[in-house]
Amino acid sequence: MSTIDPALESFVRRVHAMMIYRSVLRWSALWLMIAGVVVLGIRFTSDLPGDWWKYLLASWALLVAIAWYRESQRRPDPNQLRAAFDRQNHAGGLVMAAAEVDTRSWEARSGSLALPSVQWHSGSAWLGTILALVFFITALLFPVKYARLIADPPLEISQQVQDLHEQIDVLESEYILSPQQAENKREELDRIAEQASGLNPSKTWEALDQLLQTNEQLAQQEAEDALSKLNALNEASLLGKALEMLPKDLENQKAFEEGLKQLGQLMNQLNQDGALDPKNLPPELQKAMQQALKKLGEGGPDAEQLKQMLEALENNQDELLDLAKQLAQKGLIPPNLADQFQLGELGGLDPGPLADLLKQHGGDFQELLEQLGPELGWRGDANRGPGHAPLLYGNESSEEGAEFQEQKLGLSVPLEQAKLAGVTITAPEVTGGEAILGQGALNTAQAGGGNALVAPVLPRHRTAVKRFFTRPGVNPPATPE
Amino acid sequence: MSDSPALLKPAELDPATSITRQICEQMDRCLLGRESLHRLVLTGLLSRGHILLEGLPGLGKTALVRTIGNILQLDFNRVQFTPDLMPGDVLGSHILQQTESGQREMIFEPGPVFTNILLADEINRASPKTQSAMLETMQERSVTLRGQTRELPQPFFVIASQNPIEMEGTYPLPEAQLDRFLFRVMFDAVDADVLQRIITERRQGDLPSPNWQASADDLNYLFTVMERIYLPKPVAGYIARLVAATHPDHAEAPESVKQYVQYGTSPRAAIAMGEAARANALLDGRPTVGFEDVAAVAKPVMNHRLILNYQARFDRVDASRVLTDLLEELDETGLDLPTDVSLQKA
Repeated sequence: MSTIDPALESFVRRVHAMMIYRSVLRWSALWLMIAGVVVLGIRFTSDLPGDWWKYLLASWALLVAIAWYRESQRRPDPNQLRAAFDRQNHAGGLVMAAAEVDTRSWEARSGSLALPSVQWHSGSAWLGTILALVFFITALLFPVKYARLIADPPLEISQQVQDLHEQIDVLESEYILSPQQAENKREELDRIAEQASGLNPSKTWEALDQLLQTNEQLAQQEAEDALSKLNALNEASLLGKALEMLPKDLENQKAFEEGLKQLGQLMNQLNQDGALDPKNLPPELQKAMQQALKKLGEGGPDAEQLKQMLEALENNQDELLDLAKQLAQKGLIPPNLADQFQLGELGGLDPGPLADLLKQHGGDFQELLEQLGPELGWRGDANRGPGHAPLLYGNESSEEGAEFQEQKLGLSVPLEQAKLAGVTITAPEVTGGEAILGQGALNTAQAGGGNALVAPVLPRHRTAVKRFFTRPGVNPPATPE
Repeated sequence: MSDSPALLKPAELDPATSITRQICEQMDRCLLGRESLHRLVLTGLLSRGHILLEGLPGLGKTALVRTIGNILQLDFNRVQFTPDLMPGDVLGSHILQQTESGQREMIFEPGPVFTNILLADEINRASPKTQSAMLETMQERSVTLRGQTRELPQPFFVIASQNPIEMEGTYPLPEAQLDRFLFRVMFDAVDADVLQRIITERRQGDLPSPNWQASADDLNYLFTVMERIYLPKPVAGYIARLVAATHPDHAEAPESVKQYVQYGTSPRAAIAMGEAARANALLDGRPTVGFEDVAAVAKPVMNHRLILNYQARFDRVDASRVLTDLLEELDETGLDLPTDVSLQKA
């Protein structure tokens, strides 16, 4: 064995170690960056496991093993390393020749061979590793609070949630929602508030809008129902008050009886529709109301019962107005619908004129209704239109006495008196009446000029076009007969 | 290892080293200020190669050749090449002569080429015909005339010179002729200190006689040792890669080669470089050839073999610069280490 070989082997190991060190350091920078990202990701989503550093060390050990294996596979050719060793020692080929021939006789002269140093300019690799390490430490120590804020930014919807809660309360208190339905809606609202995230605000807003829309639909439906009941109540109340205002001597007359009958029908209808809600009335009033309704069926209430009935109607009117007010306050019904409730008692109508009308039509309540129908919002039925006259089928309307309005028509010449002036495919040449035609918009227009498709005549075609229109045989001038 | 040729022992190499050292000393003593040139010319002679000297008149080209011939005790002839010089003037010719018996026959009269060292002065002034007459003598070391081949005396060297500035009326040597020369050596002007010594010590330009002369046995011994200088495989591989990298389409060719070289060097250049590197190792007293020996002879071996393109003329780039780039950029060992890793001497 040559004395060169130990030094050469040491050199080969040194080169190999340097290559492993280089790979490990460069890969460590990448590994630290990846580890930092992973740590950040875990901290954003959950908590780091208690023995996270063990995983870290294990993965780094794996990285070192891979680097060692890779560099072992890529180890330089021993002959090339021998040549490099020879060159660095200025051995003049002796070290290289030692692999091929016996050089022992010259090794004593060559003296001890120095081990070349393997230098790696590792500044950039160290800088990268340090930066990666700083990033990793930052990822590890970054406050979780901010991390969570970054991961899941809050969405400010507390005001909207509170408003919806209040709406649900109103809907429940007004019996629009049953307690179970209201509770379900509250749970759904709480769930939406809990899952609200700034990363996906549209989802939260859509859910809130959906809930709000459902509430509004329910409230609007209820409000429209209440409005129709209120109108009916207004009618009944108007009629009742008008009856109350009638003089005593008319009370037993036919008109009064007819009025009471109509009132009774209205009241019964209201009762069937639920407009006369018993819960809105005090117990004694409920009892009186029951008796009054019973009396209405038999023929008519007395004055006291009429008074109690009107009081019950007022209570129900107040209740419906209060419902509308609350729904409007919570924004559950549109303003124009809320405004329709603002007319108050009797729909803004004064019962006095109605009482006067009743007096005037003393014995014919049907006639009074026909006259007041449109004003009371009566839209007729199959046999009756909204007008004053009843609808009569089967008899044709008489045209006797009917006249059309006379209309003066302008001057014109009969067609049979018209004359053929000439036939031409071009614009007719006007020989007279220039003063009249000259005022028109087409005064200066040429033949074909009125067409929407205006094709410009190119200069090179102009002569041919002019020649076509001036051919005497084909295009004779228009001559009046 | 037993099948491999045995490496020279120190006892075998040391006498040869001593002879070469004495030759160099005598040359340095006779011609002042040309130490590296003397070493290079001796390297060429040990390699049995022909040398093309290029330099201005009066720089000592003839004196160098005369001194070498004197030290080595070799025959020396000088031929001044001119446009009207005919091949017969160099090679020799047949003359009709009457013999003692009264018969007339063609007798061969050898030309000046029949010598050990031929100085072909201003070789580029001769016509191509005469230049090409030198091809056989340089390559085969023989002369064929009238169907008869005559061996030249051994050793035989051609040391030619040419003037780089007087190009009018010259016939530049063709590539085939240039390729026959082992080295092209540039003769530079000497320093002022050397000039002062020349003025002082060489009155009328007389050369001093050498006080030691090598014998024919010495020269043969040098050639025998030269045969046994060992060329390791990595060095041979480096020479091969170096020559291959002079071709622009080669993978390892540096940018300057790709940009400026039209044709790279021939395999004859690789052979010449190996031989010259061996001679350089002998002059250094080493039995093996190292990378530094190749680097020492690479430029003189290849600078006249590279054929540069027109771009090189435009950019005033010569072969020497291209070879400098090549030697700097091509790693001797072929060790493919990353660029940020380097080996340093301890």
